[in-house]
Amino acid sequence: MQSYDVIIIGAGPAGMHAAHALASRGQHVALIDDNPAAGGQIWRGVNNKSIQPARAALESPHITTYYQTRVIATLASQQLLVENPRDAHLLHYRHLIIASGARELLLPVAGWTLPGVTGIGGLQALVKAGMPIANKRVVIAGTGPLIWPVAVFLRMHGAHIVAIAEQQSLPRLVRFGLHLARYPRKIWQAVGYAAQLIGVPFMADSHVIAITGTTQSTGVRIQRGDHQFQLTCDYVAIGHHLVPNLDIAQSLGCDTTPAAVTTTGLLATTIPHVYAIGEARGIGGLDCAIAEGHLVAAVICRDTSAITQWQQRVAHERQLATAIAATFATPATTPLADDTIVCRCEDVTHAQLQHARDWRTAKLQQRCGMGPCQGRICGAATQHLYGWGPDAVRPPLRPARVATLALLQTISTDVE
Amino acid sequence: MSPSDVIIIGGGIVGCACAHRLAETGWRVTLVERDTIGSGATAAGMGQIVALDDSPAELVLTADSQRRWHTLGQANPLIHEYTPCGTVWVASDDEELTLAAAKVSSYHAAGLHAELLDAAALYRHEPNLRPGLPGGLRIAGDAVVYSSRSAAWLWEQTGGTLIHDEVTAIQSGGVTLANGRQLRADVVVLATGSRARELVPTLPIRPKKGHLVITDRYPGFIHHQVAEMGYAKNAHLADVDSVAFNIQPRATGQILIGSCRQYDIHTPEVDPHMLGRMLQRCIDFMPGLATLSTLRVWTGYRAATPDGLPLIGPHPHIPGLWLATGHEGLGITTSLGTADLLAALLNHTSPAINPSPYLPERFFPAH
Ligand SMILES: Cc1cc2nc3c(=O)[nH]c(=O)nc-3n(C[C@H](O)[C@H](O)[C@H](O)COP(=O)(O)OP(=O)(O)OC[C@H]3O[C@@H](n4cnc5c(N)ncnc54)[C@H](O)[C@@H]3O)c2cc1C
Ligand SMILES: Cc1cc2nc3c(=O)[nH]c(=O)nc-3n(C[C@H](O)[C@H](O)[C@H](O)COP(=O)(O)OP(=O)(O)OC[C@H]3O[C@@H](n4cnc5c(N)ncnc54)[C@H](O)[C@@H]3O)c2cc1C
Repeated sequence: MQSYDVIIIGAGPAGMHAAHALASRGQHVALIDDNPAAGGQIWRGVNNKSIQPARAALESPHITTYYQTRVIATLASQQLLVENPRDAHLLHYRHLIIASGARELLLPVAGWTLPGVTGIGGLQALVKAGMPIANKRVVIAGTGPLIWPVAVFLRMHGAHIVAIAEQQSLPRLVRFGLHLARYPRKIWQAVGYAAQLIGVPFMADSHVIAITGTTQSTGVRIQRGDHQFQLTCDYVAIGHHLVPNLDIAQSLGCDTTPAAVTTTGLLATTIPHVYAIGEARGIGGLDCAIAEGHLVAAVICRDTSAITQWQQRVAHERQLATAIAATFATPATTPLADDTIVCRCEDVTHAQLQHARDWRTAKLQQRCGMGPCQGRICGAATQHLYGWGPDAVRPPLRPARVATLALLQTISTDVE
Repeated sequence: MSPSDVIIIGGGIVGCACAHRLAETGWRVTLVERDTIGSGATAAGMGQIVALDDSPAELVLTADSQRRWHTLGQANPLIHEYTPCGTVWVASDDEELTLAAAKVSSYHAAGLHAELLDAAALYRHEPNLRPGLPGGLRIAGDAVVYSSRSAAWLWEQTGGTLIHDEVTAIQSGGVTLANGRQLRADVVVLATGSRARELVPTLPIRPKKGHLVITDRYPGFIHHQVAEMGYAKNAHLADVDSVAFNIQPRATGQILIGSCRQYDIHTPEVDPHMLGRMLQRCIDFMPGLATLSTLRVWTGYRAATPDGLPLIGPHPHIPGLWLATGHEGLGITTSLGTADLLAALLNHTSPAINPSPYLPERFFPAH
């Protein structure tokens, strides 16, 4: 079995910076990510100045990268079972850093399963992967700070942004803007976005109530205050801000809230030797993730002067995280049609679910959440729609080959 | 005796089947369930409707129940996900093949279809088995159901009263609920599966934990429930943890993979080592399983009795308390036979099969 001083789960900005900072202090690090390259969901394949040095540093002989690799199970005795497209491994760690990032919250709305409808980050990923977007009409809707960089990105690739429809009210967004004033880099970023989006209609307080089309999305119906109107478009990118990926932390037994892994100011979770950084600690953005990557390395290596320096930085960046949460973390849902599909894996509709007692009944009687996503998408949706509690997390944390799980027979039975 | 009120504790497949049969014969049924209908072992079990011949009494009860499921399932295959796929029991060596031949006659004697398979026939039925196996046994009348939904369906037919609460005590003429309320009835039926001892600590029931794994959809990968003949041998080895190859085609095209048995473990957590052993055993019999994608793993408890037979009938020392529990790894199958026996005993009508081997009094010395 391979053994490392530190295993980092997630090669986004937080994980990359932690890896870099640990390796430069002589630690042997494994960096695990589901994606084929480092960079995380948003910054992968982008030449961003703030993450370039850390990306280059991943070449260090102290760092072993496990790309296209998923954590399937967390085990006693500080072991992980991981799988890649070819084989599976058991890995041992002394310290574990959860830098598992966040995913978009996708809430059902009439028509959301039509081709042409994607998440906001989802559309960006498709375009990065080569999907042509030039001259296509796109409506970006939902809520969250992700809307802005993605709108700029799509416009740069030639998309015609028909409108941006943000759920939050204008006063709320203005308050958020005032918070940004304390972060000079963010202000310049915001000014830059605004400049690049001149001419794009922006609508606050606007809720998508249906996506129209029969075989493909052809438009959206939007409610704003008392009136409704229709926009015509080819693609609808709709997302409801981000939710942290908590399953690995929960599988390890760490305390979590719906919004974050519970941690101390020094990033320690409630389980010994396990730390959480970046979006897993609550949605905080790029600069926050980078600062926490540096801080966790300083903590693990007991580098006291670096700890003091990075702790201040993290505290400053986390204030913005609080503002982000206050502004965007409570997306509204619109009433669904009876035939709106809520669980996409198993095609379970709102009509089949709305009278169920709880998640377990919906699951056992309607198969809701039983498909390959195991409630990662519909679980968040049913929590918002019906107030059902989330499912218990257990292995396999992601779909895994039978042979991968069979490898568990080799672990010792008398674990501590 | 004129039919009257009955309280059933536990809305698993056994409690719901009893509710259904009693309501059919005129009883007013109240069901108390702490979780949701069709949970407990019913939400965990494989749902194989299987005739087994480990003992004569087991074969009689499973054969009777297999026929009842056939009637119920054929009438409403979608509700029950009833798939009459049959079972192929795989012999690993010539000794087991000889055993298979002997079983053919015992199944025939019980009026069931059973067919000895030579190697060629075995691979014709299940081409994905590993090469080199000598043959097996095919029981065509076995089937697969989805028991949580069957339980809900059986309950819905009763028109009875459902109370979502936990029973905390049984007293003469009724039960006490966790919220403090008392419910009264002449007859109380205990159908709480492996939790039976929480309410009646003297019952001879031990939990036997099992793990199951469900895959993504691979229609046509197997055509029958396929299990190793050693299953019965391994499954009933007292007190020893065991694993056996036992896989099932679901109506959805998914493959349900089992099985293993562990005694007296009370924590529901997945045991990684046991899970690994179980899956390796299955890969050994069917190498193609190795690359299939698994979605979920879960555990469940069988309510095991010392003689492997359920407890069906009156508790010999507690007036008004009737038992329908202890169904080990066969309760989905035997729920329908159990319900018929229990109702016949309560109604003083003649049951379809002889109730004596299942009466609880066999474990209680006379006063
Ligand atoms: C025939 C059949 C087919 C199935 N097919 C699928 C399928 O395709 N996809 C799928 O996802 N599932 C499938 N299931 C499994 C089903 O969804 C549940 O997983 C199953 O009922 C087991 O329950 P659970 O423990 O997973 O449920 P949960 O809802 O997670 O748990 C049930 C109860 O047990 C407790 N519990 C269980 N395990 C633990 C634990 N490890 N730690 C703490 N508490 C625990 C929980 O607190 C809860 O009260 C199938 C089940 C059957 C019987
Ligand atoms: C891994 C595994 C595989 C299996 N495979 C098969 C198979 O292929 N074929 C087959 O026939 N059988 C199989 N079985 C066995 C079968 O699942 C059980 O025998 C059967 O489900 C038992 O049903 P039950 O109604 O007696 O108990 P349960 O299904 O456990 O139901 C008991 C109910 O009582 C409720 N309850 C408990 N205590 C209280 C209380 N105090 N107050 C209120 N409610 C309470 C519980 O919440 C539960 O819903 C398998 C079992 C396991 C574990």
